[in-house]
Order: sequence, then C-alpha cells, then structure tokens
Amino acid sequence: MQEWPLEPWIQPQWLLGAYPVLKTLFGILAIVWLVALLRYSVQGPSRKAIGRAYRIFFLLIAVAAGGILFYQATWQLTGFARPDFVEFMRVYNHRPDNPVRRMVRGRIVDSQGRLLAVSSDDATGRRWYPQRYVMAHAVGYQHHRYGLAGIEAADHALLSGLVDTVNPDWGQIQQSILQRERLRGRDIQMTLDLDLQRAAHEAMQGRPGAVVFLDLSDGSLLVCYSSPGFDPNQLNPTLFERNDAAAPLLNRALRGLYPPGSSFKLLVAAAALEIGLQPVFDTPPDGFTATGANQPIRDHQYYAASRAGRRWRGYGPLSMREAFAKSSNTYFARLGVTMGGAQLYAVAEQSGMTRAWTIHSGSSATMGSVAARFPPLTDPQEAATAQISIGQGELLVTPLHMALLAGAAGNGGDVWQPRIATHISPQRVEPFFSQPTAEKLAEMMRQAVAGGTGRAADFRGVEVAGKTGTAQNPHGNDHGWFIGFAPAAHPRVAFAVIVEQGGFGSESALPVARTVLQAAQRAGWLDRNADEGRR
Amino acid sequence: MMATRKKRKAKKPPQKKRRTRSKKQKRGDGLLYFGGFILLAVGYAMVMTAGLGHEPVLTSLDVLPLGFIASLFALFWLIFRGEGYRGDRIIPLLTCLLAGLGVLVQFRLGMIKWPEWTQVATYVFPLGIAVYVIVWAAFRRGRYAMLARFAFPCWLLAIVVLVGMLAFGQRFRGGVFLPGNLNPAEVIKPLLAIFMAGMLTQYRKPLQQTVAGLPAPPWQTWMGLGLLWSVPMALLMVHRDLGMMIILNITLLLLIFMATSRWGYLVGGLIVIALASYAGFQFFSHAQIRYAVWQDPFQDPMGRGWQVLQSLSAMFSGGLLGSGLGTGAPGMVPIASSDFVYAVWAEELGFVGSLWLVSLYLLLYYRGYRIADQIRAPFAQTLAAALVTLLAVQTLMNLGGVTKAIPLTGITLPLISHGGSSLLVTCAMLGLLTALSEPK
Repeated sequence: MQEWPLEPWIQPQWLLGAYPVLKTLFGILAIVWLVALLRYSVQGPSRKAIGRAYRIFFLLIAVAAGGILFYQATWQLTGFARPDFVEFMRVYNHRPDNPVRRMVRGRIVDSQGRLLAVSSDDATGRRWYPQRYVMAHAVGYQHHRYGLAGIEAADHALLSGLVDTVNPDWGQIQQSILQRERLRGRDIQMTLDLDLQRAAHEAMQGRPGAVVFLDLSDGSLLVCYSSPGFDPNQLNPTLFERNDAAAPLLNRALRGLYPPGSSFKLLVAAAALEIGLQPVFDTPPDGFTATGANQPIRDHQYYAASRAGRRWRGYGPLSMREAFAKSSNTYFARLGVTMGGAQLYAVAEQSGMTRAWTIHSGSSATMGSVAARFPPLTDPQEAATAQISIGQGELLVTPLHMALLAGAAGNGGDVWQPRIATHISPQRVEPFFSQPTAEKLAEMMRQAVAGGTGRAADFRGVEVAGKTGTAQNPHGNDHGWFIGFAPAAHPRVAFAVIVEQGGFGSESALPVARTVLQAAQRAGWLDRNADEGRR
Repeated sequence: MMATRKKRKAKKPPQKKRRTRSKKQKRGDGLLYFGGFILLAVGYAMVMTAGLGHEPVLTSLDVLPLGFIASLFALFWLIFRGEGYRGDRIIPLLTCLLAGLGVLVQFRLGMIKWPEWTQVATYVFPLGIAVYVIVWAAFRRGRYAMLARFAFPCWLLAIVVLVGMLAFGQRFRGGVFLPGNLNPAEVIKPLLAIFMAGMLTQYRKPLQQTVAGLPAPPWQTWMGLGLLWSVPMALLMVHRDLGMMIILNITLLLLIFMATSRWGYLVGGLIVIALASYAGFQFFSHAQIRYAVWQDPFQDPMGRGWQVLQSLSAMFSGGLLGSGLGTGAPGMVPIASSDFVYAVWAEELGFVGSLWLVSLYLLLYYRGYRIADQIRAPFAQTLAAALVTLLAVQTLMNLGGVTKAIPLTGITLPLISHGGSSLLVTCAMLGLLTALSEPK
C-alpha cells in the first residue's frame, strides 16, 4: 500500500481550519440541492400529481415520519428535560463535546491535599496530571479517545459531577445545560501519600516492579506504585498497541502476578503455628525430596557453595525461627509436607491469598487486585505442596496480597479492608490468623531483619520486621521481594516490594523499601501517635 | 453536440413533441446530478479533514471512495439522462445520491477499506449499483409484465430460501444468518411483493364482495390465500424475524385495501394485527424484553437499554446542527454502521440533517406511489405499490427504532446501512421500480 505523506507546504492546521468552511458549504449545498430537487419534482418533466388513493398512502407514511421526527426532537433538542436521560449521559456519554458534561471535572488530591489531577476551566476541559509518572497507575487517566482508567474510571460518576445526593436539583442542572454553564464535579481525596509515592518512584529507577504500603490503623494504601509507568498527560496509541513485557499500563501492584518465593514462608509458618506445629528439622546439604518429586529442594547455600567449588555441610538441625531467618528451603518444604497441603490451603484461603481484593468500590466501577493463583492442594500431592511451601510451583500472587499478609502479621492477625480513597470508610475484615500466631510471626520477622537475610533494612531510629524473597521465574533472572512492617515494636505500616528480575530480594527490593520507609518516617507515618498528628 | 441534436429535431418534427423535453428541464436534470456529486465531494473533504487531526497521512486508497462516487454519478447521468429513458427521473437520481451517502458514511465509519476484501461494505455498494442497473435493464419496456406469471414460483422460492436458511444458517443476535452474517431472507421481500401483486390482481373480484358493508370473500379464496400467506409467516416466526413479519403484513394490509377499496379490510386487518401481536407478545420472551426496553430503557441502562440510550445520546450531542461529518463519536453507539447508522447521521449532521435525509426518503416514496398511480395494468400497479410500501415501512421502522419511537426490530436503513444482503435487495427493488416507471 502506497502512502502519500502530506507535502511540507500543506500544514494540517490549515486543513483543520478549512473544516468550518467545508461544513458551512456542505449545509448550504445540501439545502440548495434539496430545494432544486423539489422544484424539479414539481415543475420537471413528470410533474403530474398523484391520485387520491396513493395520496392517502403517502400521507400515512409522511405523518408517521413526521411523528418520528417530532419524537426524535424531544430527545435530540429538548433531551435536557428528561432527568433519567441526562443522568445516563453524564455517566455513560463519553463524548468530548457531550453538552451534558460541559462541566469541570472534580480534582483528585493525595492524603495531604496535594494536587494529583485537575481539569482546565476553559472549553476544552483538558485533564492535567501534575505528578506525571509518579501517580500514573493509581490515579489513572481520563481521555476522550482512550477512555478511563484507575480511580478516574472507578469514581467517574462522582468526579464528573454526577449527582451523589438522593434528590438532585434537576432544575439547576437543566438550567446549566441550557446556559452552557460549567458545574463542578466532586473532588476526591486519595489515601496515597505523594512523598512516599515519589520516594518509591525514585528508588525503583524505572526497573519493572511494584511497591505497596498500607497504613495498619485503617487499611489505607499509602503507596500503590507500579513501574515502569507512563505519563497520563501524553497518552499515545503506541502505549496501547505495544504488547511487550514492560507493559507500562499494567498496574503491577494490583494486577501483577508473581511467584512469591521465600516471602511466602511467612504464610507456611503461620499455617504451621495455627495447628501448634513448631518442629525442629535437620537440614542436610542434599535438601528435601518430597514423594513424587524429581528434584530435591535444596537451600540456597548449597548452590552458592557448589558454584564456588566448595562443599556445603548443611545448617544442621534448625528451629522454625532459625529456619525463617536463614530462609531455609529444606526446612519449609519439609514443614509444608508435614502439615499437609490441605492445612496450608485452608490458612491461605483464610488469609485472603486466593481471592481478589477490592480496594475501591467507586461510583462507577470497582478497583482492585486480581485473584492470586493458588492451586488447590490435596494431601497426596506432596511434590506440589513442597514447591508451594517455598513460594514456587504454580503459585502466583500480587504485591497487594503480600502486603496484606505482612500487615496481618504485624497487626495481631487483624486486617482492614484495603482502601485508596478517603470517602470510603475503613472496614475490618476477618482476621487472617490468631493473635498468638501473629505475635510469633512478628517476632520471627524481626529476627529475620535483625540477624538474618534482611539485615540492611533497619535505619536510624527505626527497627523493621520483614522477610526477603528471591523467586525463580521462567522468564529470566530471579524476582526480588521484600515484605514486612515497621516499626517492629509498634507497627504502623506494612509493605511489599518486588523488583522484577532484580536478583536477591535483600539486594534489590530491600533498599527500595528502606528508602520509602525513610520517607514515611519523615512524613510522620511511623510515629507512635501518628493518628493524632495527621487528623 | 447541440448542433447535431438540433439537426435531428429539424429532420423529424413529428417525433419532437413526444420524445424530447425542453432544454431547460434537461439542464435541471444534469445540474442535479452534478450538484449532488459536489455535495458528496464536500462531505468527503469534511471526512478527510476531520480525520487529519489524528493521522496526518493520506493513503492513495483513501481517494477511491470519491472515485466511486464520481463514477456512480457519471454512470447514472449517462444512463438516465438520455432520450432512451422515459421513466421517472427522480428515482434514479435519489438512488444514486442515497447510495453515495451510504458510501460516504460507511467510509467515515471505517467500514470501507479497499485492500481488505473481507469488509463487505467495500464491494457491496458497487455490486448494489450493478444489480440496480441490471434489474432495471432486464424488466424495462414492459418486460415486467411477465412477472405476473411467476407469482406462485416466487412464493415457492421464498419458502425455499427460508427453509434453506433454517437448515444451513446459524443464530446470531436472535436472528438466523448464513455464514458471514449474510441474511438472504431479505430476498423474500421482492419475492413476496410479486406474489402479493399476482394474487391480488387475480382475486380482486372475489375479495371485493361484501355482505352488509363488510368484506366477505368466498371462503375458498379466503382460506386459500390465508393458507398460502401463513406458510412464510410461520417460517419467519421460527426465524424470529419480527421486523420482516411486520413489514410484510403492513404492506399486505395496505395493498388489500388499495386493490379492493374496502375500508373493512383496513379496520379488520388492524384488529387482527393487534391480536396477533398480543398473542406473539405472550409467547416470545424476546418480544417482551424489547417491549420492556422500549418502555423504560433506564431500567437496565448498562445492559439492554444501552444501545438505544447511546443512540439517543449521540443525537443529543449532535443537537440542532450536528458536530459535522467525521467529527462525532460513532464508536460509542453499538452497531453504528448498520442498524444504527441514523444515529451517527443525526449526531454529525444534527436534527436539520435528519430532516433533510427524511425528506429525501419521503420524496423517493412519493415518486414511487406516483409511479404506481400512473400505471394502468393492475399487476404492475400493485407491484409498484408493494415495492414502495415495503421500503417505506422498512425506513420508518428503522428510524422509529433508533429514535425509540417504537421498539427495536433490528432493521436496516435502505441504501445507507452497512448490510450486504439488505443493500443488494433494496437496489433490486428500486431497479424494478424504475423499470415499472417506464411506459411500454
């Protein structure tokens, strides 16, 4: 197919400028032509009028057509007098020139009232996102060609000024449509904190991955960051057409499915603790081979040693606390098989690891995570149970799932429904596990940071509890995870960080989490009396 | 050219009076073709200019729709302006203009892409014009009279088509379609029109009998015709093609009334239709759903009411003068290119544009009834009236459905909607009508 690019001397602006001229010309020509045709019909060569019988036929048709046109006019010209219709158009008529939506869309602000999205007051009503990449996924976009995404989609009705009261003032609305006034849609405050979000953006440095931070006092999301991002001010077709692994439009924090790797040992430990299981297992160098498995599950140290040409003697007998701090695969695979897949699955289900989480039930749509992929386990499937016990196999979770899990450990098992906008009130959900289990887990997580794989997480004045993870994946290098909560003594925030193909969690995800935690400390989120300070 | 014509006139003075028209009238004819083409060319320029806002690249294939429109007007002008054609001059002109508008609107909707032969709209318009010219040429000069002998075979063919579709078709959006969403059931419209015309001509006398002012045909006529008619109707009921049934029955009713001039048929027919629709309403759940949606589309605005409410929203956004060709948002209206093409038109050309378009259709049907009125032969007269009524009722039902004046029936807008079989059949019907307009 041959293409003719526009010659340089033809500027598209000129052509666009010609449009009103063409439109006027078209209108005049159409009317002149119709008049000429009617004259030709009346005065032309075959001008004899029709007889009475057929005149009745034609009149019937013409009256019906007139009736239809009249009825059409009651929608097309005076549709503003129909409240149901106006309400429908305010929500579902996404045309840029929709007369009903000649109104200023509400603003979106962060938890401190800083501007995340604002519409211009002029006729274009253009949406502007001052934070660009930083808030792209959570806020989303409103674009006349690409539609809606993020909270712009979920709360479209509120933002676009759709009535959120029971009895809207239709008189006023109709008046404003007629006089082309611009009403203002409702502003929305998100629970996200711009400072923390920006810290996450800077720490990720464009590497693919996600950061989720939760406020443990009410389930508010403080950070919901996905990388790589996009600039919602500059949407273009290539962004939507590209089908590569980078997938900048995908909100990985909610919709990215990853193997959790060692960070999943938190759940395995919880499942064991719930039935009072705290065994001491030997961890030999040749690992643990489940019945029916082809390969033994070995510890990381074994591979590190054999790569260096040395032999590793194994950790020896380990308690759960030691195995957790050392992140021993051998121990946890055996633990999972000992308690059985059914118990593991039951606690995973109780901990919301198998379901999709809603973070916002907006006025137009709901926003939330996808469901985790958790194959149902039955006891004979020992090999699969062993794989899942170390966070591998067919298990896939989202960062939000892991943040909730870490938060439950820090919060005595209690969990709040995650939320992203302040106009939805906080709500408790069923506890993930019992309080003794949660206390034990919290202690183990603190131990993992203080003397285990997560040593680098602490920073001045703040003790962190957490668990690293290094998840093998079939697409390339290992994913790095770090999940946890802080401060360890009186938890205020929970988090999950993943860096895709970042290698060891302690080297990739952990520094990101630390950077954001430092920002959280500066913003006062980690203070003991943060609630009084903020509200 | 002028000189030779003058010479010929001078040579044959007796023929002059009958064959030629005044110079003024002839010029009006050509000017209308030329003006119509210019109008569509401006529309085409609007579509292109509006599209340039997004993709500032012209491909050589984009010029083809304009080329097609130009050749269409040239062809019609050459065929129908000449001395050889003595029929109605406005029907070919309007066919040409409406088909041109169809091409323009479908091109604007992105349905016409020349290298892609899977896009039906790409070749169905040229094909339709060919069908129009062929049908006209085949039945002109009184050859249409032979159709009277084919009334019963046409009925049989209609049955075969309907049964064949049930055997080989598949269900889609409630109706029956052949692979590729062809709907050959459209073809039963002209077939049954010929059947109706034939039967009404043959049985006019018995049908005209009255008892105490009420029509009372002999029971043999009554039962025979009723049975014949009920076969295709029963098949259409199996097809669930409610729209087609309504079109055919309203046409039948008007034709019987016209052929017999007995008001009793009109009144009685309306009562029967009312009873039948009430019974059908009780039996068919989809009819109930459509009725409920029509009554209150806001009950289920995101589901069943979505289509018609988006159509009305498009109209409201267009307002009085419209947004202009190429600048609306037809993507928001489901099935915009076929059943709901009028919504796109009303959005982009406004209410004024709708008035204009409906005037064109009304003029087309006015001329059609005028043709029927001028034909003496009863069969040809009834056939012409049947064809016009079928098209007119189809138009009204489409416009009514899209504007929510009546419940939706899933019917295309003649000559403008994107619908392969429907467009071809419409062209054939108009071709036959043009042939009927020519005296022997």
